[in-house]
Amino acid sequence: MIEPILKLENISKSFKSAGHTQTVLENVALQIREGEIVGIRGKSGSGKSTLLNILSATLMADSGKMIFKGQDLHTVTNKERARYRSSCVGYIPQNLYLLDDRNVFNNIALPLQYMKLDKKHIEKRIHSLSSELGIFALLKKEIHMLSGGEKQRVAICRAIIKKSKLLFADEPTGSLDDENEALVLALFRRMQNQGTTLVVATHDDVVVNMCDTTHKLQMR
Amino acid sequence: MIRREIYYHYRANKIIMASLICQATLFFIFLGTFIAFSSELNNGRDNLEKIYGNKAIYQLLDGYFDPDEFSEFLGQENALNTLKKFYNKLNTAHHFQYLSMFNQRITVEDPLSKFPEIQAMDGGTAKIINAFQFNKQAYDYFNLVVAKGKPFSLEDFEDKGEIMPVLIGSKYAESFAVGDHIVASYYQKHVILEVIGILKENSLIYFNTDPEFYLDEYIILPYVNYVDPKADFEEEFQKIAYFAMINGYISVEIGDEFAQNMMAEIEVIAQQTGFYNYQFIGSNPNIQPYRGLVNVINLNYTLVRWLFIFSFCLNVITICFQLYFMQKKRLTALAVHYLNGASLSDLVKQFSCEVILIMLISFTISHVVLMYILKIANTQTFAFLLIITIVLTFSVSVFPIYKLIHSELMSLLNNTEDCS
Repeated sequence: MIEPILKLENISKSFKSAGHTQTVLENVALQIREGEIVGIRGKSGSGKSTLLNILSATLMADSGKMIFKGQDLHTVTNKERARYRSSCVGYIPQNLYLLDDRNVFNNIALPLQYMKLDKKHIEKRIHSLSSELGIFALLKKEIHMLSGGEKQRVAICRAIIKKSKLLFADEPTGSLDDENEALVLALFRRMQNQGTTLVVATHDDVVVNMCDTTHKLQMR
Repeated sequence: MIRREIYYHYRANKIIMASLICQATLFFIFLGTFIAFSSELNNGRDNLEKIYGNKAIYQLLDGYFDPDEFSEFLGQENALNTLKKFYNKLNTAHHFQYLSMFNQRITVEDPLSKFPEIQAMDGGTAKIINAFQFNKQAYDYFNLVVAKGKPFSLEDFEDKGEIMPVLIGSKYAESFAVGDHIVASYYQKHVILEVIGILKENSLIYFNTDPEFYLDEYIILPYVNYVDPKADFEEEFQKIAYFAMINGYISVEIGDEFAQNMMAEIEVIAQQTGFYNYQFIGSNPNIQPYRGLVNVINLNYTLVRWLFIFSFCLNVITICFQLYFMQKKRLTALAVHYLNGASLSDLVKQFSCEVILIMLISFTISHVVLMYILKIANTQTFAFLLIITIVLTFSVSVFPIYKLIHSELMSLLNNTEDCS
């Protein structure tokens, strides 16, 4: 039996909005094993993105434990959580959120810059991965000049450039055509083979089919 | 990393950044002006307080208005001795301070045209310039400060033959240096004025009816206590000089008792020295206007202080909200940084550096404007301005930083699905 790399125990999260409290997650338990592709399904509003945010330590749960390498990330310092995000986590948000104050190259370089890698190393990695994703020619372009699919591939490239142990993806194939979807999924499969653990929130059956485990979130 | 992010942020928000820098710069320039003005008002008030606060000033004059009587007195064998004793006793009186001071013009040789042309006499290199003379007590009374060289000391009021140590007003600071000599004619006597110091700009005293008598264009001469003359010419010169020196001001505490003691002591001095022909011109007429002047200064000071507080608050609020709204607009971008490895403290540091840079640029520009264009600020003004800059930086940062720390950054990326 493979030990889970990430383990959620009794995770609950609610949000206060316009005077009332909305519970999004309640007592969620989840085990993610190293090298797995885990699918998260559920209707809109069921808490898929919230769960990914908690898993990536960008959002704190109200209660419960999230154990990574034997340590509860809810009890460590902000700095340690930032280190976890910086060195172990890649995240592809649903709306991509590329920074339009810089070009494609510098968008992709962002996580590596936070890892304080040197310029040459950053360039080498970006050139190699961008070629693989077919966006090498776009590196010097400004974000507003890209199409939806190009943006999606740039966001994916930024998320996986760190070669992190964990990759969280929120609807990663949402705006891709079939050809690019196949390209991205092949890349995910290769990352899995190289030891990356993927957690994917998706509605896409093609993506669900490639997952080793799938969990469904119910509306609260 | 922070430098790079600041660069991107400034590049993407050029107009807002420029307007913030302009606003802060203008604020600092106004503030610097206020501080300089306020400091001047304060000094003015302090000086007035010091001179007239609880003092009665009397003018002491010799009574020789009739030229014949004057000539007769000067013709007396012991006239010079009488004048000297009278002057020296006035200077060492117990019940009052004797302030001997007088402005007059003296002739100087100016072969290198260091004095302004307007002061030139027709033909030759001689020029007539403003001079002001003090006895030691009057000099000390006004607490004059030199920007270069040294101030008068007790020995400068002693006779050094034809050399006379002088201070020069700030207007001549670029033409003369400490140690320079100026050949002059002082009551027809040839003297060499040796510059020992240069007065600070805007040095002022309270003289006659002028509460702000500026010395910037004056040469300051000491009232020298001369040794016994060795020639007739020297004796005549000293008589004229001492006559000028015994015409001065008497400062005493306000109150009948002080005035009576002062008058009694002068009478004793007159008896001891044999100089009986003197007069008082009542209490100095400045005393009454002084009270009105202090009130006006106090009102101005209060007004300036309120203007300063109002301007400070207005700027804090407007800059703070501009920064806040600018930050609110880019919270999503900050969330992307957060997602990609930045910690909250990285983002706070980045924001703080952006604000500090705005303030530093503004402070530097305002420093240049105040120092080299308006020429109104001094070290004290800049020290105060620097403190205000630090306080302003802190004040405008607190609210946006608080909002940044307490915003759930990731909820901004949660799109339409969850909590947004």
